[in-house]
Amino acid sequence: MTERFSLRVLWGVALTCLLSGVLLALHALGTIRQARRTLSLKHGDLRALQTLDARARQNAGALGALETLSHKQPAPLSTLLKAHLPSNAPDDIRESRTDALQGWSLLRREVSLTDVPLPDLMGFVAAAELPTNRPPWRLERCVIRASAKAAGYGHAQLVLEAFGKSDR
Amino acid sequence: MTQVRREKGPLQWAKACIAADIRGSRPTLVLAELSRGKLRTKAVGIDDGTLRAAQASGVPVVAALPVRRSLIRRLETPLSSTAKALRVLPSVLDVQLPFPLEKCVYAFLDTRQTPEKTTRSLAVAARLHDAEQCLAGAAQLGLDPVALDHEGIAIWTHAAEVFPPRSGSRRPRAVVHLAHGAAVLALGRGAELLAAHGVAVDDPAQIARLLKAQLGDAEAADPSAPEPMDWIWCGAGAAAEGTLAAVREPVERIRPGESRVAPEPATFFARALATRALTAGPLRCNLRSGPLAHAGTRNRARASSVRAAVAVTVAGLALCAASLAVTAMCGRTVASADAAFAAHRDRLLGYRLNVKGKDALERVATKLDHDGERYRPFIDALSPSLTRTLTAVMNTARESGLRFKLLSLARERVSVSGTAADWDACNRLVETLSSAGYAVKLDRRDALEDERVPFAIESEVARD
Repeated sequence: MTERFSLRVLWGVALTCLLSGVLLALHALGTIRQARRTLSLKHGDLRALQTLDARARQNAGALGALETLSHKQPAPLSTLLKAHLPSNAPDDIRESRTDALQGWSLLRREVSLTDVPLPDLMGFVAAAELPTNRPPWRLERCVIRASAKAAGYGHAQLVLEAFGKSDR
Repeated sequence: MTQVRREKGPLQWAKACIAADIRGSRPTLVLAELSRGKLRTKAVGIDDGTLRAAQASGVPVVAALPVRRSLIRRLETPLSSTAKALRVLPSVLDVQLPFPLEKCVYAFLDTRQTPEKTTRSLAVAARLHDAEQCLAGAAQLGLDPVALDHEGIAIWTHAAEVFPPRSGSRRPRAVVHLAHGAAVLALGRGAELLAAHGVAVDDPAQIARLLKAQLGDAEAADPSAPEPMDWIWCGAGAAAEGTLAAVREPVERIRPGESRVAPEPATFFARALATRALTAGPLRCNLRSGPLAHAGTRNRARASSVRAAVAVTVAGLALCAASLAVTAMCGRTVASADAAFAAHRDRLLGYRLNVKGKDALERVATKLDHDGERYRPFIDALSPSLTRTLTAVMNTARESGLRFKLLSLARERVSVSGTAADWDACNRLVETLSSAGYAVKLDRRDALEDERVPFAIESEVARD
């Protein structure tokens, strides 16, 4: 009787364990299904976030290219003008400046030149844009009117922009 | 045609056994050993040292209830399910027994569904008292049988192994075991056992009556030409010429047919018991069950039940552990995805934010849109320079002989006016501006006095 009882108890324990195992397994299956759905949504969100991250990297990359330069100021335009257009002193140079990110400023110069040989003008612009260890100038606008002086001459108005950062 | 199902032998867990024919004054004993699927038997005496050594090493003993102290019945129930039939069969047997079923040991063999969707079974039963007496007789010989077989069934199935009936044959067969001054007659057709009886060796007419009773149907169709009988003779009596002839001749005159004597007839029955106990085959039987069950059998059953319960417990616990581990792993995976998203989100935002999913994405996108405006000049600075367009325009003008009056170049708009050497000379400039991505509008007028054609080009950045 005792043996029979203990055997019954043993089987009771065994079946309880098995039943618990089956119930937990069913619960685990439900959890897996739920987790799969959740993970699918989360991976979608993460992919969207990575796309946004690419934009952020592009922004940071644009600034990073300037930060690597050893000089943070562009080459002085007056020096370039003297070098490439020695006989054409500018009639006027208007300067303006707009503050940008992280201490950088966008420098804008409007240069007016009279009776300037056009090949020399092109040489000046190319030299201003030449990549060096300084932030380059970029031609943003250009108006050339024919000069009465001779063919190949003109009156030029150039708008050049460059980034600069004070060393302070 | 029916195929008798193979069942496990009652001592199939053992590799050897002692089979004992304990009727008569001197028991016939056989020590059987199963080696690589083959059964080797050796006759031993009751006082043989080999026997005692085998007993001492725990080799189990199998004996049989004599036919005279037991009965077999073919039972049929209208139930098609064998499981249900097995619950009903004891009641069916109880009705047919002259004594209460509670005072019997019994077994149902070869229980199966018939083509008519009923269930047939071969019931074997003996009075508890007779079985106890049989065990007491064995105990007097120093034997403690673990299993009790049925004499008639044992000689029938073993005869079928030694002389297999032709496949599908329904030829009547009689297996006669002659020993200890008595005979056991097992009757059937083909491989199917129909009845087993104890008969007197000096009364062939009794055998004839039993044959007529069991096989009477076929005989009734043509009484003058009964079906040929398959006679198999075994037992110590079959080894003695005189004894065999005295029984064989009169019965074979009544039912002629093929007659054969089993090899080693004296130990045929004991070998039958050993074979049935150790190997699987048809109609395996152990009447030492229920209240008479051997302690070893009970212990074995209990140990087996404990092992099964432990296995189920372990399986259940393993399932619990695996399920909990999987649940925890799922939680960790989701948390890790959350953490990766949060780290990414906070890095892009530049501060910690407790918002998830689409809301977080919207916040990040808004922040990047805002940042994008501030970064715009820096990104524009990486786009192709206007100088490239200016150089292309100047080179084209020189090569095409154009004279500019005005050239206005901006990122969104290019305006050119001047004169061309001929009507088509400014076409190349149009092409140059088009390939630079501008939508060009050309206006030309009639040639001037110097035959130069005035033109004006207005072009804007082409929008797709």
